[in-house]
Amino acid sequence: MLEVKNVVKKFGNYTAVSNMNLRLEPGTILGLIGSNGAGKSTIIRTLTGVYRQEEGEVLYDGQPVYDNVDVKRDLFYFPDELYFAGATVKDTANFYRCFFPNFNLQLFYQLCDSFKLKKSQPIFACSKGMKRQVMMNAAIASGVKYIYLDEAFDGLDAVARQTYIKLFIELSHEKGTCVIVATHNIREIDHFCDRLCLLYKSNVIADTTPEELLSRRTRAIVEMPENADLTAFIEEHVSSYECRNNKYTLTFTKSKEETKDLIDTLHPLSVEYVAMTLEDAFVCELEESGYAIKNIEVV
Amino acid sequence: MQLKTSKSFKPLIGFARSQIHSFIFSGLIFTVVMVAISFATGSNPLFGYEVQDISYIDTKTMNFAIVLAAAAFLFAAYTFKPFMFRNECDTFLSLPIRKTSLFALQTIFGLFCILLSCLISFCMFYPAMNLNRFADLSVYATAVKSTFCEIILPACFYYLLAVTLIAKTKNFLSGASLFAAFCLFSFFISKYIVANIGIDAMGVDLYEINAANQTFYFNAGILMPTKIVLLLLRLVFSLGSSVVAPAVLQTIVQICLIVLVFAIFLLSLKTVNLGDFARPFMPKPFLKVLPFAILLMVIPFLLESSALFVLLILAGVLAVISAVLLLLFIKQKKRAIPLFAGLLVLFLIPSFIPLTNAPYSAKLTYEMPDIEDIECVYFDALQPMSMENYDYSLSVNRYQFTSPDAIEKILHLHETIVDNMKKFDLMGTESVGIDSPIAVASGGCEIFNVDEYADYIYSLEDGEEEETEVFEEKHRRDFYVNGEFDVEAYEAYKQAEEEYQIEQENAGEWGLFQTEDISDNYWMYISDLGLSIEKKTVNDLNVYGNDDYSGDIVEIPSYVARFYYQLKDGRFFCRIYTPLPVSWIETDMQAIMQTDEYLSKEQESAGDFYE
Repeated sequence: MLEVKNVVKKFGNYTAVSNMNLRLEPGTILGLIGSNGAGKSTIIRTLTGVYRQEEGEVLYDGQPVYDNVDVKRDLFYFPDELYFAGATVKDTANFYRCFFPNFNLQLFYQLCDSFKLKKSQPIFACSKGMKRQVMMNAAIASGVKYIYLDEAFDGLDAVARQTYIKLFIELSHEKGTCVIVATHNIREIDHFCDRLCLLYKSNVIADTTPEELLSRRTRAIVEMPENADLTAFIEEHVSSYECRNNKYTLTFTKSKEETKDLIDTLHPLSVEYVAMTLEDAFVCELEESGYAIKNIEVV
Repeated sequence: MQLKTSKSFKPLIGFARSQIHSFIFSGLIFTVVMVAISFATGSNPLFGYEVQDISYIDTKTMNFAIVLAAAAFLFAAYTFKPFMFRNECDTFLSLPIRKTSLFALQTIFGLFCILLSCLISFCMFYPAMNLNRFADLSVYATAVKSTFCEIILPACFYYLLAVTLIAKTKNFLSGASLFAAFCLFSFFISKYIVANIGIDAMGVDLYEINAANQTFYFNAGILMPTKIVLLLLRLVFSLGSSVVAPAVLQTIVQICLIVLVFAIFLLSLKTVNLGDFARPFMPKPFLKVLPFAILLMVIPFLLESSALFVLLILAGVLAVISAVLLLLFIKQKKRAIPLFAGLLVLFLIPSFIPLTNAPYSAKLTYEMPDIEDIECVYFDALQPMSMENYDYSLSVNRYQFTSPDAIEKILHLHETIVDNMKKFDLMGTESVGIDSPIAVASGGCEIFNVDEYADYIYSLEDGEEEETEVFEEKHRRDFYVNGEFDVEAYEAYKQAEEEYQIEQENAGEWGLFQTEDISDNYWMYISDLGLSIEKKTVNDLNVYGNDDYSGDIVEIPSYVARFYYQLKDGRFFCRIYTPLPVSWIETDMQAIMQTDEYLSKEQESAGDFYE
């Protein structure tokens, strides 16, 4: 079990992670999502023992991770910027075999075959996506309890992405592997994570499940009569809105039932409830936390 | 137990294997680039030597030695790549391997390569000149210093540059190509500056110029851009030399350079982001001190002082080593910081002592004398790397008037004298080209064959000539009793010597190096060690075109040839001609100066006899 207790990570005077707390049971797939520079990679580096936190503790089954070889044998870190120690696919496998006692070479090659990667294929001749596939295969074959993926799906095609997501889900269900995914692209991990940490400005602004995150908000397209004034209503009840030809797309920080009652008070011409995506919910969360890029005009 | 051992070593082996791969790959690329540039330009851009002109040792040997040594050091430096690049740093730090093991392994790699490189340079440089010199311990010191100055530090500078470029371009090949281009560019720019802007105006302390064929040596091999900046700064400051005293000017320039290099260094550190990525490896105090430690190694280059050079480098190196050791063995940060600081101070204190004591640390501007002003030229072609010859050079120098100031001048070469020396080597006095007598001192009389064309030969050996009148020449060491200089005995000796000289002059004989007695077309030759003086006249000076001599003669200044000029106004200059890096000579001359210290003081007290 991973326990993160009051972790603070600083770079000089800059606080990259502020007072983070986390408890991760085996088999969890955690998504670390946040804006650019929110501290996702720093958290992963701290959790994998690359960085040493200034305050707090990172414990795996009660053991600190920093410079702890025994703990690190159970962690695989897929960095944002890949590094290949070997020149070929085979070398990469051999490299990781030295470090991870449960590395499954057979599985690695099996995965490589599935993704049409040759053993002798030079890494430098691989495309960005292929390099990620090699590393993904290494991560899956490593046989560790915790896999950390930092922007790991970036560059993978949709088929490969979905395949790896299935494989990771299988790993977590069958072997109890924890997968921690850091990304800013929520679409990549839709239907993948069973828990989400939303990060903004070095802080965890939400630690929730995808379902809960989605249920927090309701979006409706409301058609209003001409000259209807919704200013007061929007200011009071709506977290974000958009208006086109008297059709308002309103997002509420309320459940669907509560929203329904509210909208009825407007006497709209028509109402259509729209299913929110994880990304929509994430954007709303960030906007509510103060992250919004507005007042930009192209022309 | 067996399982445990295998478990703990396997990651190390894996890591080592992964490093060797990139190690060889990068090293090969660097080597190829360097060799290519070397051949393309006829020189070695890494160290800046115009190796084509080194005729006294095997050019190819030297060239390849330089390239190989450079490559080895680049290998060594490259082992620290995981500390530089973010992705590698992240990967390795997340792996189940102790940071201390990681760092230790890298250090071992680096040290191994440095040793390898030292070995290469020792084996390839030194036998090319004189293996016998290894019998003397001081040679090792010189060799170590030379290797450090000429190879390790330049390689480290270049490595920093290369890594910065690679880190910036995020691509090894692009970075390496840029690096190569940069070297070439620097080389040609430097050459342009030297050729077009002028040499003397910039105070080319570290240059040896042979104007005849427009080649030059880039002596210390430090970063050429730094060198260019140095030259430009000097040029700028030289414009203001009429209003500012040269000494002040020098100080200002040096301070500017130190600041500049420090800024460059910090910038490169920032570029490779060592601070961020190395932080997990290194305690903060180490990171904070590291730039200063390296700066310590840089300053002597700028000050161009050998004594400082060695000691500051030593201090810097020891500081870094101690920091690493602390990092490895002391995990208690609170104790490590004061201990580290203490060690640093400990290393620094002795390094600053020579600042006040070393007379040769003084820098002086100078002007070359006009040829017409030269009264007499003394040519000392000793092979001063052996202690015997140091002693001998002492006895010669007692008459040849070297001084602390001359050390500065020794670092410069005047093209006319080079020409003259060449003519002298091959043609004898008839073709020297100046109406000055030349005195030659050489331990290698048998290869010099001077007796066949010298007018007078003064041998300090127990000569075979029965009629030679002997004044017992004493060595300086003879005046030392229990490590202290016996002033009274020395005074008594001087008195006796003067009487002897007067006696000789009255008798119409030559006094040793009594320049007024050396008239045109006289050659004075002093052979090897000995206590007697012999005189021999040789009338046949014509050795021109004699092939039998030319081969041997080329060998004469295999290491160093010194010229001493006595001007008509009584001033003296000392100059040196060598195909080798100045720092080697510098060390050698320091040794000479140390043994001659008392003479220098005596000369100074004699007034303005020496400049």
